[in-house]
Amino acid sequence: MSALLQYNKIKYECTCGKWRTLPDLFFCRQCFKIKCDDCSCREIDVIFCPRCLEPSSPPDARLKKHRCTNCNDCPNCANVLSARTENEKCYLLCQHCRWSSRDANQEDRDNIRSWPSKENPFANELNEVTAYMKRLEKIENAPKDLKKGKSKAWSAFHLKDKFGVQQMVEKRRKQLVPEVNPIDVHAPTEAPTLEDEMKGRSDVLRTLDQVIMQPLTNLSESLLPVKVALQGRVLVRCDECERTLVKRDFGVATYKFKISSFAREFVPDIRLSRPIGELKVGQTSHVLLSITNLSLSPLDLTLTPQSGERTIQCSSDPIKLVLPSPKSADSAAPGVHAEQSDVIVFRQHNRVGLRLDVIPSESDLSSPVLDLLITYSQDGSFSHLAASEKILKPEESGVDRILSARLRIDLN
Amino acid sequence: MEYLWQNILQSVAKSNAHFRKRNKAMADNGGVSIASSTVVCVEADIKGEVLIKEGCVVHPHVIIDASNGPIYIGDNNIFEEFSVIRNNSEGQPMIIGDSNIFEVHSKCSAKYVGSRNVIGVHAVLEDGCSVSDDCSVAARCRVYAKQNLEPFVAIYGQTNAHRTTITPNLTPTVQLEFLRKILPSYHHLYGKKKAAPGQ
Repeated sequence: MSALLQYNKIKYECTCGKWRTLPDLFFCRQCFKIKCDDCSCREIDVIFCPRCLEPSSPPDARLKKHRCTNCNDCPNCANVLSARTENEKCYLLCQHCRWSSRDANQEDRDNIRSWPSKENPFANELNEVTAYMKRLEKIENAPKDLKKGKSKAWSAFHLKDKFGVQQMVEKRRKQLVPEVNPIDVHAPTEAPTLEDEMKGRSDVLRTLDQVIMQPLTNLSESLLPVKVALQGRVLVRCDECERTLVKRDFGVATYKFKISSFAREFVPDIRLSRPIGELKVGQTSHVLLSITNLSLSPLDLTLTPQSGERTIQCSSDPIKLVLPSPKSADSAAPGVHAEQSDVIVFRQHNRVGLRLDVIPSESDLSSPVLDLLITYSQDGSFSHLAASEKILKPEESGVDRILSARLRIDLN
Repeated sequence: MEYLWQNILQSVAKSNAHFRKRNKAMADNGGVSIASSTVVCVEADIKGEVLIKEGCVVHPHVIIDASNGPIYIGDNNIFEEFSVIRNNSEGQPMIIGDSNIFEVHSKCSAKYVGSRNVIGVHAVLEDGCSVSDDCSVAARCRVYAKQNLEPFVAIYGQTNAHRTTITPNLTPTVQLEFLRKILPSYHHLYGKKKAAPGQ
């Protein structure tokens, strides 16, 4: 869609100085700033299976190793495995490459849930080591914890044991006793020779994708059904005021937004309305733009072409416009000055078409870029909103903020 | 191989003669003879000497073109929309066995197709290839000309990878029953009722 509308040719400047297309940007209504994906915070909202859309809580997901128990992928071609029932038992079958769980020497099962997957052979040892490390951590942190705790609590109080403090102290002391049985160190094993490696090797070659899907499976073992990895849905926050910019509606299957403040809904949307003709040095060419107001309130904007290094020279004067909101009834909005009427090509409801004249110089031709600055104020929309949410004081809310956005248009 | 092929040809010819004798009334002038239990939509384009046996389902816009050589089709096959069955050989018959599925937009000009095969969406069987039983050709895959597929071979992926399977393809009984019931209620059928004038 973005390619169809040629959004990729027009880049807006984010507050952090990066250039992004308008659909990629957010707008914080409290800070009045444009935010991109790099200067916003993200957090996981819901974890769910992309196949069966079953949501799971974070500890639950961790327990399942971030894999769905019901859905499986083909280990051979990564397509969906479907269950086929035969004699009241079922097995998994890939409709694409006809891989089946019988190929992996798996017996048919009563239900489609929880097919086995390859476990880490060192899982037990790993758990032991992590438990040992946790104990070490506790011992190391004990002096710090003691310092943090109030010194008065460690007076002669515990001798009386009125509140069961003695028990607590004993418990704590037990924890602080250094562990005397650290885990045995691995004895060094000899590195396998090339012959050893080649001996156990089967003729089956695996593609890189297959190996990545099941990294723990050896070549001599058969591939098992791959459990589908869970996905997280993201909630976006402003990094300055930490207010939510994008929040999806409750429920995994819905595509609606509870809170959405995308930049498109606030910043005037500028697009090329016609493809650019051939640019010639020293000759005036036309750039046809359309400006759309997608916000809820009328927009009072000034478009100023910028000139500077590595940008194309634009001979047009700053243009002042008033764009009605898409919901307002009056289509013919006032505000077109007579001397600028040759600049305005068309006017439709909340959209206006402009023609800018550019004079490219020799150095521009390789990468012609048109630099524009829009300053705009929206009639009361922010102040109403701000006042209702008690962000601004009442005396501040009367004034409309003048905002600005800078954009670059790639004329290639 | 040649001997086998002759054997197949003989047995098919024998059963065809038997079939023609029984269904004399069904055969029309163009050499198309279709069993009465077969459902063929009127939008299907059937040309030349085509013989379709019991219980097949031919969807609309299927092209069965036997102008270069005869096409003999067995029992209980499904031809989905826009699939093309075309005999490109000169005079050689094309033989299609039983319980095959030719999915949407598949093209087949194979010499021989066995039984219980699945020819996927946009899959192509090129001229003179042969497919034996229980094979499956996945979407957009290709069996090259003069290639012979062994039984239980699956072709899949962008590179036309082959692998031998151990699971047989099931006969699409439920699907066939459903189609036989539902197609006549929404389509005019070939040879039974004339559709719009000019058809």
